[in-house]
Amino acid sequence: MVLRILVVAFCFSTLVSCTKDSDDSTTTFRVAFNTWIGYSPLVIAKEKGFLKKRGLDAEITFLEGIGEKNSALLRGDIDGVGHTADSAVTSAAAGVDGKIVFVFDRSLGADAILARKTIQSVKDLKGKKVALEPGFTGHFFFLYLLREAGLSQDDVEIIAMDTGSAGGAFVSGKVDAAVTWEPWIGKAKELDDAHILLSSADRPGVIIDVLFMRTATINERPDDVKNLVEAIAEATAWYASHKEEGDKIMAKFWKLDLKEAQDTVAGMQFMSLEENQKFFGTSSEPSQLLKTVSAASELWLQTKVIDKPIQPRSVIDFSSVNAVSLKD
Amino acid sequence: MKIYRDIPRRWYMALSAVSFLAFFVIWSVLSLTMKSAHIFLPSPWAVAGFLFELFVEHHFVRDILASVWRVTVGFAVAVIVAFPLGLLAGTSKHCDAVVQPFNDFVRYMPVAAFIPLTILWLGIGDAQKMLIIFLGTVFQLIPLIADTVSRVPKHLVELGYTTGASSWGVIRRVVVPWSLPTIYDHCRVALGWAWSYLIVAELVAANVGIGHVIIQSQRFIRTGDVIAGILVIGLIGLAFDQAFKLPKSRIFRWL
Repeated sequence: MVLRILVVAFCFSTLVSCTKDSDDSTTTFRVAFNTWIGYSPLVIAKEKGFLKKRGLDAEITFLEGIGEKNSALLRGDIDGVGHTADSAVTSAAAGVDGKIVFVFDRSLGADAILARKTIQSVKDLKGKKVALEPGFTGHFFFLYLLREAGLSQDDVEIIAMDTGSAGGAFVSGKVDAAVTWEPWIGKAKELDDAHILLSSADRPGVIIDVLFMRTATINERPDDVKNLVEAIAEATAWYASHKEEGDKIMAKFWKLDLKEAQDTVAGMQFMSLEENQKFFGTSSEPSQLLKTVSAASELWLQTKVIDKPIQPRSVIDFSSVNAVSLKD
Repeated sequence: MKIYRDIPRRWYMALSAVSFLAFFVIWSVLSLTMKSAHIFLPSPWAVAGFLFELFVEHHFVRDILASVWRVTVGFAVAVIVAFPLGLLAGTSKHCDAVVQPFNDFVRYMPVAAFIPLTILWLGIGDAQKMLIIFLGTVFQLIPLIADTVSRVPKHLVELGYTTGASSWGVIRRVVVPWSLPTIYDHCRVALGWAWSYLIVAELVAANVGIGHVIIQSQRFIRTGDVIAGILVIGLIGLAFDQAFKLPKSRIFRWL
């Protein structure tokens, strides 16, 4: 009897989760983030009603890995993800048809190469052990800097692990260097024998958090996507003049103490609408965004993270962001 | 000291308490002496503070209920599937040949590697999470049940046939009653495995859940929250374990 109830309950919950996806009486965008405070403008837009007043809503869920994000995007269970520009390239190479519609923020210190003080430049990393997450943002940043210094991936010994664990491995003294993100950078600053070799603050525009949406969704609901971009842009503008309240909203959503949230936000810079438009450029005169995406495509191809190049233009949606303006 | 000698219940509880005490002492000492302990191993009392905060400020009860629901359903379906398969495999060599070798093959496959596939099959809702827990449990349970069922004393089976029962009758009236207490124990152990898959299950699209809290806390190095979450899972498991054990004498009156 109990077993029968449980079987029915299981079937019921399966049905419920199936039917939930097909409800589009309100224009709801289903968006997935990995856990990172950089995507907060959408959270603020939802919290402060900027979405609602445009007839929109966002259902935010969490998918930590690229593999999971790609599967959900391919299946159409979600309309978009919070991603980095280099991850957008990885997704495109995995068969996801999607485009970057907006840049949430550029990383300014929230991502970095940590190294022992004996290592003073990227060239000094030759032959050393570097912990990082292959195929992910830290790896891209590292390859970008290696290329600058005239080195290749083969000149260093890469120890593979996820980005957080790379920070942990460095802080506990197990590797000479690590490419990792906050809050591990803050923890490394407490050590005597370690320093930040280079961070995203030294190369702004390389690591950027973006809203990457399925092309199918953009084609089906172009006006809603424009309104979504506008709402997020409004949230970013609002945050600039309401930092304290904004920090509180972020702390609550991401389950952090207020100080933790503030410290983490200090390592990045949300991008306003004007900055976005300058960063995107236009289809005929593209700007920095195309450069970053192209660099990602080249470097990923070189290191066989992807096996064929992607068309950088195909993952950028120039129209939505340029069609939007904030007139209060 | 002779083996299998029984000891008074008070002794038993005292010795168990010593284990827990030793655990806390070692934890406390390490948290005070280990390098970078404030990052990697906060003290028990610090964790208690984080746990309190989780309940009071972050509605941890909601997370607990969500995880308990997912694990219970995934586990229950695993039992429902494993029981008949194990029963058949243990009593019929034909079924054994069809089920067991293949099951032994699948049993070793890492469930975590199947995550993207489970998303493609079932999407990102609760069903996908229950599937992960199901996959982690069912293939381990089948050989245990089959093994127990195959150990039914043959003289009892013969006795069943002698009374004129069909094979189904023998299964119903001899095999199942004899095997059930041991299978019940296998299920109790399997529930532990089911819980261990919670993190894997809640890696995908979980907005509530103990695993979700642990994963997000890990991202921001809130190690106190991580340990608090792990401890809560342990306590819940302990509670379920005891709940499993208690009604045994009442359910299995024929023992």
